[in-house]
Amino acid sequence: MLFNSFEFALFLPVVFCLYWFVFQKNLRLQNLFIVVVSYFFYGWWDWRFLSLIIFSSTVDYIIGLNIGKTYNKQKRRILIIISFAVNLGFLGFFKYYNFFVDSFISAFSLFGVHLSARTLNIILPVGISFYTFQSLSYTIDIYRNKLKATRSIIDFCAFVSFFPQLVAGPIERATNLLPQFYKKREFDLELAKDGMRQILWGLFKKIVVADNAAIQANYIFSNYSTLPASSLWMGAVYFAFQIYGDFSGYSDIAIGTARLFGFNIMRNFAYPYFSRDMAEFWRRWHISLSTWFRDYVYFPLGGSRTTQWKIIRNILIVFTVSGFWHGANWTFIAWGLLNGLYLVPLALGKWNRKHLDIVAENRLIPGAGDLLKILLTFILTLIAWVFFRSDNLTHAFEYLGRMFSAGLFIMPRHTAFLKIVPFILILLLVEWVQRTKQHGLEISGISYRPMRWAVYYSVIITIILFGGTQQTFIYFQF
Amino acid sequence: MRSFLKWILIFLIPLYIVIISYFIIDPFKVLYRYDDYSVGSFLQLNRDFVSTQTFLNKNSKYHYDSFLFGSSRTVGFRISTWMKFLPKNSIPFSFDASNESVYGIERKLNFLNETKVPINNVIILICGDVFFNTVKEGENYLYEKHPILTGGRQFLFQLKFFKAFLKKGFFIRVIDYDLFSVHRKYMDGYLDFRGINFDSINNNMYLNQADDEIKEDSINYYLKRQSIFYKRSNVGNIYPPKIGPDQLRLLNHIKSIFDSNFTDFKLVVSPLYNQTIINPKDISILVSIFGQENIYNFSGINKFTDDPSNFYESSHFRYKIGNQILDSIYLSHKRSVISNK
Repeated sequence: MLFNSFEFALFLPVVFCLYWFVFQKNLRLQNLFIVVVSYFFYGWWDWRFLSLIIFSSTVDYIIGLNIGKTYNKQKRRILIIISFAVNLGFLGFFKYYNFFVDSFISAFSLFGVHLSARTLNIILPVGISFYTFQSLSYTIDIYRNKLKATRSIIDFCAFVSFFPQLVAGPIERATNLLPQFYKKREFDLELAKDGMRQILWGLFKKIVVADNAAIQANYIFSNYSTLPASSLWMGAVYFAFQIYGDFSGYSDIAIGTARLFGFNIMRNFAYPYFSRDMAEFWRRWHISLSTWFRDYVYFPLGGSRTTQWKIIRNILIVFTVSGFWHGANWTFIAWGLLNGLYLVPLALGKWNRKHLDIVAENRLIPGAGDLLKILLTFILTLIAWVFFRSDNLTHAFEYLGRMFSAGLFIMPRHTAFLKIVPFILILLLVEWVQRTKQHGLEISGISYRPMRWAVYYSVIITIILFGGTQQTFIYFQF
Repeated sequence: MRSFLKWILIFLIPLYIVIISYFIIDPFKVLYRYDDYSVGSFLQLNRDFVSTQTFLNKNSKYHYDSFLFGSSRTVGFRISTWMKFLPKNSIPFSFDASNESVYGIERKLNFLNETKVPINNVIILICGDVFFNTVKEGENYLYEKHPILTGGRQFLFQLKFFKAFLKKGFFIRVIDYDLFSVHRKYMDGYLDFRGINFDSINNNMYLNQADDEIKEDSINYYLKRQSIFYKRSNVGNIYPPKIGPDQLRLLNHIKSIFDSNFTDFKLVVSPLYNQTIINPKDISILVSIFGQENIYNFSGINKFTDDPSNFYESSHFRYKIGNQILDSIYLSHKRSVISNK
């Protein structure tokens, strides 16, 4: 069920009431309740894939216990390889089988060899990319002696399947989330209220910004060959805000929902479009995934504490794989690779950790230098988003080619400005003002209560009046 | 926790306004009974529900025994004209539904048969684009079948309408219009101002506003709608065969109901603007089940479909055509097949 659906609006209050009023006294029952409702939530998408998540959770639970029990290096290695094989095997089959078959056939056809191989009609289980990585982080951290294996299968299954973040992240770390299942959750009024605010902000980003931007972006990307370059730039901008509103909106709803139940899950977005360089962008965009790749791929490869060639290699591997994680299409690989290429000069010049502070902190308006950097970084991300959004590489290159043609100086033809640009500006303004806060509606600091309520109702009314046609969350397809 | 619940209750005030307004306004007219569903209506209503509910509300008083089944194209037939061809004392009723399918008609006939309603005379209007659908449930609330016909759950049926009301700013337009009765531009596409009326006794649908406009200034009426009347290819397209096992089962059941009720029935294939002919294979199946003398095929390119002024727009033919069709099928003793180009 989608977060912005009638079914979820019924599901959440029922689960909330049962969680706090019925199961609160017994921790084990409460965690079991989370497992049950999470599986119900997941099964609502497609009950057939419940067996998959249950199986992979069971395998990793057993492997985690056995790794924790033994000091034998070889045995530990075998066990972690099994965990990798099961998790990545399922992921590889469901997500990439057809891609590899098609790519194989295409590659051979370049040499005039025509192979006949069948692709399968495979349905991608929702959330598989997320929960497999989350589960893998558990076994890897045990293997690295960073975490003790849990003896409770209920706690472990609750950690893997926790419904707010099950289908589209944030990809939680066992070191952060699992211990929260070991201790009793006490209802925290301020945490719950702020959770509701974060949910509301997430709904605004998703329903008003992303769903409206999607309509414009879809039109422009479908008709790019007939539109001037200026429209194509608008299309890229619309898509940039579609994917940001969609994904960060979802993350806000997920985090806000978790807080209603007394859980703190990791932040996934930290106002990435205010980044001053691409390194900063990747510290602020899809934080849970980029840190996962940093900790479990980049660092084991040597990170940046190695030769220059290996630094380049490591960065390109991480970003290419990260692109590939997003989907079985060469466009995602190209997107990842391009982002890697953006980062390489920063890493080599040791400028990748230049902007660790918050931009224009304690100032209302950024300086000219910062503003220019923000704009340039945004333009680089736009170019990369064209690959992400395009159906195939040909489409992407054609789109990009037309973006840099003379039509740049023609008025955009598809001018649905009034339908979306005001909301993008509101989003940017609110998030700029709130850039030191966790989310755009963290306004508990406003002491004047009517003002706070005016803000809530303004957002609610905006969602009601200006919500776009419901679109699926983009990251559900990953 | 108490403070939080109090806080949430205040937070959700806009939601209560929406929910309460739904129960007060009943925009789709599915919550309460109405004597006349067209009075005060500013939304497109679920015709299946309205037709069925009108029948249920009025049958005990009027005792209907003759039925016109079909999609919204039944607007092209006047019950008052049909009555001239029916035996004296016949009480006809337009039992139509939007996008009506063979499934919907079979369910209605089954209901009438099981509740021992006399089914003396029937016209089934077959529209090549929608008639052969057998989908029972759709996403769109407009095409949901009345639960009394399908055995479906009332609660789920009502829920579908409530969810439709909550969608995409729909309710804000409904509440606005209900409060102020002012047609604002932003309501277009959500509310229906076409001036559709239904006879409160025989449920016949009328496009009074369109009829008045055509009567007053037909040239301007069609000029304003030039873009709707798309150019046709004049090629004589044919629908692919659509009768499969499901449709066959439903059609056979319909025939058995006619047999057990000694119904005088006629199956009329609509003259549609798209000029597409029902597949000959489907026609021969219909003939084999219902008999050649009962099938009247007006699909394709003919005198009815040639002239755009025979239509209100590119979907619904005007009642003058319906009158000619009734003349044709009742006064002619031969199977009336207009020669197609």
